[in-house]
Amino acid sequence: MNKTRSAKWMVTALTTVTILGGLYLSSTTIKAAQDLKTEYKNTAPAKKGGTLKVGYVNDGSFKGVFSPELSNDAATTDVSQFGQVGLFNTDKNYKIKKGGLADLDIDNEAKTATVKISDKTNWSDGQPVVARDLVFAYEILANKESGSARYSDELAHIEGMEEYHDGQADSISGLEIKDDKTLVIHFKEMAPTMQTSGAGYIWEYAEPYHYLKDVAMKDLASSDKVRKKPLFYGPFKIKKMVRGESIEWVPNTYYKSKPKLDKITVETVGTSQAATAIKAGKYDVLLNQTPDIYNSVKDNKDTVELGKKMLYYSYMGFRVGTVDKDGNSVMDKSAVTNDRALRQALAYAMNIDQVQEKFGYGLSYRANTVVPEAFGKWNDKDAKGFKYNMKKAKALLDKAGYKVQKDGYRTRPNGKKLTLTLLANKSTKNFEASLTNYIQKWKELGVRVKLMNGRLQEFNTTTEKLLSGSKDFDIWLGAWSTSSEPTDVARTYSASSAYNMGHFVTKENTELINSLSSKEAFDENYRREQFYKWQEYMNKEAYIVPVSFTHDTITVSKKVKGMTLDVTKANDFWKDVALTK
Amino acid sequence: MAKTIIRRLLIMIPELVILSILVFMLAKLMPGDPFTGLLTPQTSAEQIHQLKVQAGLYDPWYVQYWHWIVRMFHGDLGMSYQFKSPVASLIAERATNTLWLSLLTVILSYAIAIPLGVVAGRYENSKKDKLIQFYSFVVYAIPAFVFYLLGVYIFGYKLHWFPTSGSVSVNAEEGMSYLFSRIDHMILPAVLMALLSTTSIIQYLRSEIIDNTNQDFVKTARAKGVSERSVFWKHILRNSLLPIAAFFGYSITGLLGGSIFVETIFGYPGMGLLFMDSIGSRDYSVITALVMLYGALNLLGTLLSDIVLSIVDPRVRIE
Repeated sequence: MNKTRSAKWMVTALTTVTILGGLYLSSTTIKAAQDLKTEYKNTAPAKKGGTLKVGYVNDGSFKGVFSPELSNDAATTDVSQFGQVGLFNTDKNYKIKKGGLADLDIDNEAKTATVKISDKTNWSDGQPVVARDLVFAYEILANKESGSARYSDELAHIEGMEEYHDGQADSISGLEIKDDKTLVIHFKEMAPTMQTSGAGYIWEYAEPYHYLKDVAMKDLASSDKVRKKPLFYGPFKIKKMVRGESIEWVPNTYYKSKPKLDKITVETVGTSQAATAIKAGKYDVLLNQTPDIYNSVKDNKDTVELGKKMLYYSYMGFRVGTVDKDGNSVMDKSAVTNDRALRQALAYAMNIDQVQEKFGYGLSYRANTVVPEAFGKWNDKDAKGFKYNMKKAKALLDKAGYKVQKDGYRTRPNGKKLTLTLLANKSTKNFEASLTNYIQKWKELGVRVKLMNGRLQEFNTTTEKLLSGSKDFDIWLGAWSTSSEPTDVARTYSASSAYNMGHFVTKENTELINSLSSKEAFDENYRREQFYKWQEYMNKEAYIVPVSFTHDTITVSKKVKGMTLDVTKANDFWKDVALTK
Repeated sequence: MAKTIIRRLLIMIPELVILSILVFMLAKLMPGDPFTGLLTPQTSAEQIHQLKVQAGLYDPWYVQYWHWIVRMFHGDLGMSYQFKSPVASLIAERATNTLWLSLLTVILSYAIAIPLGVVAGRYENSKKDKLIQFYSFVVYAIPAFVFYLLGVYIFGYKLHWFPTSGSVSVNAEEGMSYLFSRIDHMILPAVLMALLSTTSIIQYLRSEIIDNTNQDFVKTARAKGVSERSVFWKHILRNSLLPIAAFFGYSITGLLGGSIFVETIFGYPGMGLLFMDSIGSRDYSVITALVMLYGALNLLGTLLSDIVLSIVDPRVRIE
């Protein structure tokens, strides 16, 4: 499930800006994020049944396409998590393990993956989930008529997938239904990360073929069967819904075990009133809350805060290249930022620790590499990142020949004026305050940094500038939510990746990235070693400067039992959630 | 008059065509497109490119415009890119929400403002007048979202009189319970919006009444010995309502506008948020449909205002 959940992505620092969020800015004492638990261990006895009221913080409506293949809406994913669950369970490193609604066996020799659906996995209409339902999900992904945005190079590893995608075949030849409950997937080529959830080679959901087969592919996303009366194989199913606003979930009686609650109602609540609502006891659980909301409810006595490190990093990028006519990144020799000393100096001059302490509510903190700490051992603990050091920053520039002039600003080694243009999105007040701080520090360093066109940009403009290879800017501030496969972070920065937005291409970078999917990389230890090397290389070159990591938080009433953010339980903990007496 | 109305209606056609060309071109000039938001390392850029080709977004604007016009005459406004549902049904759903809320708001705001304006005008400079003046300037000055938030806090969370968000409770059964739930959800936002929109009506009415009180026809009526009661209700008030009647046509147009503040704070899915969302996500089909709808409504509203005015004020004639 991590693939779609991570669609809750952010480009360039939390674009969901609200006019009203600012109202809740307050400067109460900061509770260290280390205090945050992933699980609420409530010892009070549970009561039988009851209705759990869930508030989902969002200033719009969920779009309500209840199909992971077709939905592009993070809100829909979140409000349907009670029924729409992944087939595979994972360990804490997101590696698929046994014991889920289906099991996965990968055979690198035979180039196959075998998915065995549990006998207890059933649709909410009583029909069993069968292998044909898995095949159907792949068909929706690859069929051009369906309009799915999730078809990818990873899926194209499956035999016959490209032919089906191009309309040359009526079925996907590499998907072999062995029996009702077993699907064998034949790959053209194996990849080292196939066992990881979210890596994208193996789709982790099924679609009810018996229910949807009569709906044309092009009508699926708008059909009532997907939008109003969808089937689920998770612990709950939809009983009633007010489109875009709220959903009433009741137990799926065909699920492997009986959920403890009688009912879950989930409704969207605006950022401006979410904190008041949870304090007033209107909800038992508050999902998708912003850091501002966390900050204003964290000291509330009737609720507890749960949090976990997020698959997210924010960064500062340097544009050192552009795009050639084939869409590949190429270095731009004339770019001002094509100087390691300058890039490092700018990074060391950012007082990230102080900024995070002041504006991060104890949730976000300085990042040591671009690989989120949420990946555990995949983050190179020895990497230092860029701790504030103005002296070092100045020394770097002095040595590289950036001379300070009378006005306090430096010139380039060739004697020309040095002015850098920064591209960033409009975002929260806190983001803007951090940005001002960085610009002041760079001024202290002697580097003039100006916002592109004198202001922060709207999201569409930023994206277009970043992806088109535009030369209108030198630096940008951004952030990504990552998939749950750690090495995907590196692949973002390959020469052919559209998301290598600084367009740096070096031999060493390419070699390191290629090594992550090489034959040797099937050995996890080798892969991790190479990944550490890549992280060190990235910090040394400072094309992408890691800025911050953060936590995901939810608020839970003390009347609730069994709430957890533990990834190993993500697929089935809702069945165990209960209210206390 | 009928002739004029028909002529005005006919002239709307070229007006709307020009509007549609403008909105179509301008929408495409904005940076980004409906698929920009999908570009993340978790989606393949090639697949997004493919979807854009399929959607015809690389065609020149006049080709896209032609396709759009042809489809529109077949009654098809297209699909919303972000909602993945037909534009017509999406707008219908949101418009229903907004229409009922606005209707209630308009009724309430006239119901509050007209008596207040009458009292303030009739008893000029009295304590009552000063109190009403004070009220109307306070609500005029207060920022809308602060007022709404306060309202939600007091009447929703402290007094528990009204639901605080959504357009209807998910628990409501079909039939009467559903209807009551909807009305229940509308009362608080409607009352708050109505209170905020009373100022202009109160002020217009008050100053018209004060002006008219000193007019010759009022003096004449008094001199003829018409009772004071009759002078006020028949002579002064009737004439003072004219500017308000002139507003009326526009009020009707405004019914479908929606309010972004109210919809954001109350989580009430209406037209305002839909318009904002679709611009932000470059949902071209929804943007064009909404602009066309608002354009047509505005033209109709102006016409309606003229007609209403000619009915209530015999001096005005549409020729």
